[in-house]
Amino acid sequence: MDNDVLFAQFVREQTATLLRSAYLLTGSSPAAEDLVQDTLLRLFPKWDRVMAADVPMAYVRRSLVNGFLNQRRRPQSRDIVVDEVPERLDPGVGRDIGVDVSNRDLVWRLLATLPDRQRAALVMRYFEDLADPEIAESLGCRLGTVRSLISRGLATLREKTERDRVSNLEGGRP
Amino acid sequence: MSDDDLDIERLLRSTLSERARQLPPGTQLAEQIIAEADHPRAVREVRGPRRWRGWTLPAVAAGSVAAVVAIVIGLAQVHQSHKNAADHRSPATTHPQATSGSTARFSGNSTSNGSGSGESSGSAAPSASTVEPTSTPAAGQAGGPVGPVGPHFQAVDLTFAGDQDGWALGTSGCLNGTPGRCPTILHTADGGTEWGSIQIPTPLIAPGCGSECVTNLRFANADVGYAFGPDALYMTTDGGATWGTNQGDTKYLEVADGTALRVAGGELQIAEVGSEQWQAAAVPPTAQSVKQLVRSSHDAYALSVSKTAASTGAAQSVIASTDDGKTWADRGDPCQPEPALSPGQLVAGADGSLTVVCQDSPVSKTVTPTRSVVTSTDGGKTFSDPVALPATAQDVRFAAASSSVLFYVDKQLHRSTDSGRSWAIVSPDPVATSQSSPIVFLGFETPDTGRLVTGGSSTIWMTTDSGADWNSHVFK
Repeated sequence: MDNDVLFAQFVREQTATLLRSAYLLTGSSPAAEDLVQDTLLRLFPKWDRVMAADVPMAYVRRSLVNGFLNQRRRPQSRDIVVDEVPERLDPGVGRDIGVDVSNRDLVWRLLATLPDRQRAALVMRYFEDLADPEIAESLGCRLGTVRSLISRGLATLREKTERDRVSNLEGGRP
Repeated sequence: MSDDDLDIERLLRSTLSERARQLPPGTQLAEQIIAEADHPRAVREVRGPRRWRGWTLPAVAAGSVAAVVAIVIGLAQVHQSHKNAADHRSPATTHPQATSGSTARFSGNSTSNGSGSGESSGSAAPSASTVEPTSTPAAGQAGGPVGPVGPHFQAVDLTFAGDQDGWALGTSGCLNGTPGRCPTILHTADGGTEWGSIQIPTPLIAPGCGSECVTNLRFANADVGYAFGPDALYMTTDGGATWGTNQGDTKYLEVADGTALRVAGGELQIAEVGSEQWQAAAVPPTAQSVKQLVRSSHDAYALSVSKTAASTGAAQSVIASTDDGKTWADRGDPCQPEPALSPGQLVAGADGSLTVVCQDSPVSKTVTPTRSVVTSTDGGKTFSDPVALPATAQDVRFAAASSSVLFYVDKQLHRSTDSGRSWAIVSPDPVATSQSSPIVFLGFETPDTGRLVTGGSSTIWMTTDSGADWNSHVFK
């Protein structure tokens, strides 16, 4: 089967998956579309090399993550793109029935503030469910670095969510 | 690890899962990428300077034309289809609740399953119990329960209930002449010699499924089947004529002996075969999340991340059930005799055995991992001493016919008959003859009878001597 056919087959089957990962990395659906498109079109001329990989999807994912990190290293790309305007939680409002939704909104906003590599590591661990060696390969770093990135990312999220919770409790006092 | 640690991890999982779920399908984006790869200049002119949005522009016109053609062709096929359907289903009544799950196998659909982004923790709520059948004709494919096989069928997954009834999920050339490939499910009632297409939960197999693609298929018997993927689970109770509503993300699902087990959002769940009442399985309290699930008849095994080690991802335990998933016990880390190694793959043999592939964590792809296997024949209570494996590539898939007959696949199919102590390349090698396409299925219904399918191929390979010799058949 020629590369064009294999490429089309892969793109049709995997774009949705790649798009989800790209969205969680970039925080923006237009940026995710661009990242997926750029990644796949960049790989297209050497698709035989992709298909020769042990796991073609791992090859593409690594390229996607690299594309994300490289893009963000460029000065004009340092802004954090999010689909929604961050809003502060209303103190004391919805802390019961809406608490899960509120917490997820908060975590989503906090994710956008993490360093890119921490965010990428967390997405690969907690969304893609990759093992640490796979994350290390995607990020091009050592295993210990992966664990450090994840540990620091979680610590930041934990600290900031707790701070927000305390702040809301205090703000909600009469 | 404190409760706070667990809470933030759970919250993060559910946040990512929920956010990803909100994304519209990427179908249009995929087609535009393909078009741009083919004709970059033309598409860029249409696109404009930088950005286009794909998912708000459904291909209504093209879809309408295809649907009309599909319905016309589907109607023409219905008469023959119903006759064939009756013929195909009758044998299955002789082994109800049979052994789809007892197919000891891996489904190495690596690009869309194994390494896909399917894990969607935090969304593991049991599904609604009502089934709302949808009986839409497949896009461009046969509309009736059983029809002819489209040209150049390529499987992405395979499942057998017993040694005669089997189903293959994949794509083929569209029977109505529509360009491209159409999603297809094939059924065989004679062990794989003759195949016919059945109804599919369209448009839930790529292309056209967006974020709700199914990538795997299991049938418990000739009536009850499950098509599932990272964000989808659809069940049929009438042999594929109709399919229920989406029951949510399902990373692993195995059926056997009256129960279905699945991993959804990192949670292990159980339901009766044919029921959509999923409930959390009674896993040991130490099991925070489940990463793998394999099954062989009454025996089921899963790889869990323990609460004490979730932040490092290092410590994992095997949990085991010997009563069809109703109760589970923590068997610990069978790789512990070698402290540098941890469980990688779980492999169930068709004899109920469990082989665990232990491996270390090399820092780069150029470093060969150290691997060994340990095997249990008593439901995971005890394991053999570790057997070191030869150096292989990093991403290697394993399968087992029994506790002694093991396989691994890199660019070739390797077989051991002494529990991994020595290995030989199978000759003739079905993997090598498939032009290095990734293997998508290797499994055994019994310790003797197994099947093998590689990607990009219309060929299914079968063995009746524990994998020593393989015979090829074309899906037709």
